[in-house]
Amino acid sequence: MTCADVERLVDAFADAELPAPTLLAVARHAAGCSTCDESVRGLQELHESVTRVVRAEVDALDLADVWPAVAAAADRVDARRSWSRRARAVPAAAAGALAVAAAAVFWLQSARVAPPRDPTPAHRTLSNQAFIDRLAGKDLRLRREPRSGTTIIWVNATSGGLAR
Amino acid sequence: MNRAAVALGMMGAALSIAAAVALGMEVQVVSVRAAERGPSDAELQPLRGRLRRLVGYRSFRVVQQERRQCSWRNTEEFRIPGGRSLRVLPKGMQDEAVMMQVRLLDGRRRLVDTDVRLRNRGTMLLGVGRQAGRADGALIIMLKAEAQ
Repeated sequence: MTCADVERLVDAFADAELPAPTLLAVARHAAGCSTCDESVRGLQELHESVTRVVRAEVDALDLADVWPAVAAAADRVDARRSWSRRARAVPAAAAGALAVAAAAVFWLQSARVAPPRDPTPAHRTLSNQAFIDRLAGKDLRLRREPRSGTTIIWVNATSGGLAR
Repeated sequence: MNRAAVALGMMGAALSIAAAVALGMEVQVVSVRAAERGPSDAELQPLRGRLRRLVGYRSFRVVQQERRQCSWRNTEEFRIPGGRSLRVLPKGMQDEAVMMQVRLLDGRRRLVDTDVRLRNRGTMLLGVGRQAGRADGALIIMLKAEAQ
């Protein structure tokens, strides 16, 4: 096992994807070679930090884009409502003139509002999109990958593998 | 001439609907062992990244797979490793999605009982076990539905 071999295998080594003898050979070489040892350790740290980031992203899903859009839409609706409330509070004599003014303001405001963007990602049809209409069971968790829409229903069992 | 073309078109559409109803759909169930460490099967390599993001484990190996033709409104039972079974009842199609009732059973106990609409030719997953990092290994069941 040479340094060049380790460099070629280091990614698979960090993912524990090598056959046991090759894993052992890489580990033995790295134990005696400070350069390769540093390379292996660095990659393992990188993999761990990527895993942490990916898990955080999955936990966050894509709600970050949804709520600001909802808040912006709600602000627009609130702004329109406030004009109608003010119009109702004004004495009847001025109501006509104010109504015309309010309508003008409303029209101007509507004209200034940017056209609505495309529907949220939930409206796109993804390759593995699944809609759960009903779900029953104990200790279940539902997770969804935003990119493909792949859905997993997770049963949190104490012994989950192949044996019961 | 026009009437004949319309009649032929309608016949074709009716025949294709009849064929789809008769053929039903194909269901593929793949049981995968997920583990913290170890190699992954080559056939799962394209899905490995997605599986890692969803379940957290690193190694994925197929332990059993079965592909079966199912007719509409008939329940099919697939044996799953560990004495479990997956019952699939295809109900119909709606907007390019297959409507199914899916039940994962552990003996007579229902672990999961769900009604889903899965995009035609799409795959959904069921996982049994602890989340990654808490135990060594989990069972992932991949369910693919393809209406003809």
